[in-house]
Amino acid sequence: MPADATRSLPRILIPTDGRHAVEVPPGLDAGLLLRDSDLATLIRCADSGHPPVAVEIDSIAGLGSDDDGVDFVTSRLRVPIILTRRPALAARAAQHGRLGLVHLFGYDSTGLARSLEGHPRIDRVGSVLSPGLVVAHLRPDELARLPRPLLAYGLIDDVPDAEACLAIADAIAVRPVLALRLAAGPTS
Amino acid sequence: MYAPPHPRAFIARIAADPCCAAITAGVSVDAALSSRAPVVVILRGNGLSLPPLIRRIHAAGKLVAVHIDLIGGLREDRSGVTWLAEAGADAVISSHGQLMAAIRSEGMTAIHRLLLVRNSQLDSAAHAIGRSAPHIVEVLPGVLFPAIVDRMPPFTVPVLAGGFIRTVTDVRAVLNAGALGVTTSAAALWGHDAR
Repeated sequence: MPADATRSLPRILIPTDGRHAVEVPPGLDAGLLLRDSDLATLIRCADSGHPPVAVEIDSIAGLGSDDDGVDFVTSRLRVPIILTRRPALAARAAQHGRLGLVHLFGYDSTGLARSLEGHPRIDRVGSVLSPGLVVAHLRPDELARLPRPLLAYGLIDDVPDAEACLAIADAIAVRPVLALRLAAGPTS
Repeated sequence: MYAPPHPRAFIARIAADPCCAAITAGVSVDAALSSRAPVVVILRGNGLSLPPLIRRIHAAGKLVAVHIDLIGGLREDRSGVTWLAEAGADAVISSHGQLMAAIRSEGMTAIHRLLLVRNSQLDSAAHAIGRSAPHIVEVLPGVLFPAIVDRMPPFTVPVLAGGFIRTVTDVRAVLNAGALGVTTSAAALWGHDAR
């Protein structure tokens, strides 16, 4: 993974639909992840003083989950990280020098292995593991197969879980209230 | 024609022996049949060639649950459910809530698979379970069930937990959290009395 691609991924992503004010706590290596929103809100957020560092492109109403959609978000809106279920779109983001993260589903070991089959395994394309909390239950050989950087996303709801997941993954997605608690300092 | 057990009897079998064997059709069958697992869950394989395997499992005194969404050759619709009923399945698992009525009407045990993704989806998932009225809910990844059970709305039906359950410790944690049983591909756990 090139250093610039890894650097673009903060340790903490804070999901938001862009319709409600969410602030990144000061002192935290964190950024906003826009999801479950719409095209107009995405454009407004990208032009604001606090643009998202990542967009879950498949969940933006009105925006195509296709090459044109990725080109718009990465080149026109200059969003550095694209999350998608479609490996080809993550690779497209990488072509633009951005970071693409392919959604992998960790419901069981067989399903995770099948989910990995479509991963392009190229530079600047990492992984999103859902639900992120399961990362703490993967075997070393399973973790080794997950292309990095790795974002753990979903069901991480308290500081100990967040710290446990951060010890394994490169980044985690957490709610704003938990980001505030993490900004307050480690539990131990 | 084979008549599946009443869902209450299906649930009672799991309550007595909580570790169910999750297999791919044609793989690990002998190990599952020789284990104490009360139920063999067929997760993958060719659904159109299941009848001989189902007869073997029944001959070993075990019950059969088939995951209609993952098995090959069958569509996850009412006709697919009917085909599985005629093949002798005792239970059908699906993430599609609208199939639960069809499964129930065929006299089989209806198992609604719930995929845990985010906190924000737990409430809507619980509502979906309420609408579909299955006999059992299967929660994945099951290894997280103890961690998230307090965040989930209570279900009125028993819960199975499946996914990344690999050790006796995992099984105990899941059962202590209130699950009826587990589905696991870890052969060492099949039929294990972890309580």
